[in-house]
Amino acid sequence: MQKHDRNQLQRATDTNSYLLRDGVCTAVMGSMTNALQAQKALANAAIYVSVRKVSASGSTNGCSYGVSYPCGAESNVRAVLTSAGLSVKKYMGG
Amino acid sequence: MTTRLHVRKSSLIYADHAATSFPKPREVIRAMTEVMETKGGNPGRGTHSLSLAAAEEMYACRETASAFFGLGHPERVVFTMNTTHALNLFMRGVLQKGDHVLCSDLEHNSVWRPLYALSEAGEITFDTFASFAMTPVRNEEMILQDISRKLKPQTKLLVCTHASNLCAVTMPIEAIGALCKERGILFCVDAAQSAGRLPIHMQKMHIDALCVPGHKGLLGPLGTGLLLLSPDVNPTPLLWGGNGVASLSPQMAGDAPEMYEAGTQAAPAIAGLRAGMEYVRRVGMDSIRQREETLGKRLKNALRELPFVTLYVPHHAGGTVLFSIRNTPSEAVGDLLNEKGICVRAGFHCSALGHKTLRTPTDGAVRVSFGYNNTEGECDRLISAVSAMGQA
Repeated sequence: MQKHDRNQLQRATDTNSYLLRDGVCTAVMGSMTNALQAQKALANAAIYVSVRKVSASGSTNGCSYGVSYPCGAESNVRAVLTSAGLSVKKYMGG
Repeated sequence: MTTRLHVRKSSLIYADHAATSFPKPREVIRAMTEVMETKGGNPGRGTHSLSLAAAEEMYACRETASAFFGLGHPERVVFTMNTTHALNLFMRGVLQKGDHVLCSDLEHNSVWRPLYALSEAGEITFDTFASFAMTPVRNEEMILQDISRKLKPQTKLLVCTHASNLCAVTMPIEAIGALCKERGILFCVDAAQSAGRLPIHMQKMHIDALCVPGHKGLLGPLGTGLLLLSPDVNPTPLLWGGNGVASLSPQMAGDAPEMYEAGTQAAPAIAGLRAGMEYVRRVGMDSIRQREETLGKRLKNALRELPFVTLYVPHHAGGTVLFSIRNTPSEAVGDLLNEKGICVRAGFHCSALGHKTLRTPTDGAVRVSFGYNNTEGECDRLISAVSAMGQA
């Protein structure tokens, strides 16, 4: 494997470094359904996010799903998700 | 084993829509094919493009079902294999030792058998309340009074079919729901025959759990069903296993719906179910019901004139007609009709309670159930075929 590929793989396996790329924030929702629900609610508010799998970490007990968005949109994302009554397990990044 | 078709498929008359609708709209088949060809990942098992595409199909179906049945919570729409699965999941998930349950005297075995099994195990007790199906003049007050008489302090759940699978009798679920809410009793509706045919609004009707087949009135594929749960009701799961969430936990993690969906889900079939619901919405439930009722009335009017035919509960409007022929076993009538290319169902239709209530003969009866695509010409061929049996 090329050194460049190994570096990419290392980044991808490190959840935090992958999801916490500069300027990218993630709202961890829990299930895929919760994440898709959040994506829909945010799209209705013209905030376009992508659904991401959040790998195991000490606090998540295994994989869960969330939505990633530019950190600049954080306050709007929080407002929309709260207003939609969607429960967020954790906000990452920013 | 092969099944011999007595006539060309194109001239077959399918009048067994209470068992499953056939044929399915082209839109349903196209939706299923599209998922199998282009969105074939395992839904909820990652976010690579194909897995995510399949998950999005499933979520779209949850949204459609939630709106269709007035639930308002797509995340409370659980996919099941069929209505029986949904009923078992809910009833076994909420009932505890010592609970009492009420159900109607028209219930399908999908309600009666789980309750009987729990009762035999000493877990619960249950009673039936009267549908007054055989009473020509019946009203919801009579039914509500009988329910009130049979309620006990330990009654936790009332399960009721919305529409009988044997005949055109329906139950006043809105009034029953209001009574259950007033008394603090969980209300579960078996919508096996009514989903896609009769309006159902879970919030307005105070329904805690709605059990729905995907493959009957909603015109989706076989193997699909739904359990719609109101926000405050959380049964324990029926199945344990992988659901794509918190995989390191030994317990079924997460909330509805994934908590109740262990194992891989049938994404292509679920896409077909959504297409079926959209088809029903586009054509209009009223229009479908009107067609079925018109055909049911046409058939009943004709059968009434035949002295060798006994009709059961003919005074109710609907597309399901139950009858028997003097001195002829119901299965023999079904076989004779099949030889003429007419598919109906004979026997007991998985409803011991219902047949007892309707006082059918010891060998059951013949059920004709019209659907969205039957025609008057087909109805007339059926009438001719039954008429000919009296001349044999």
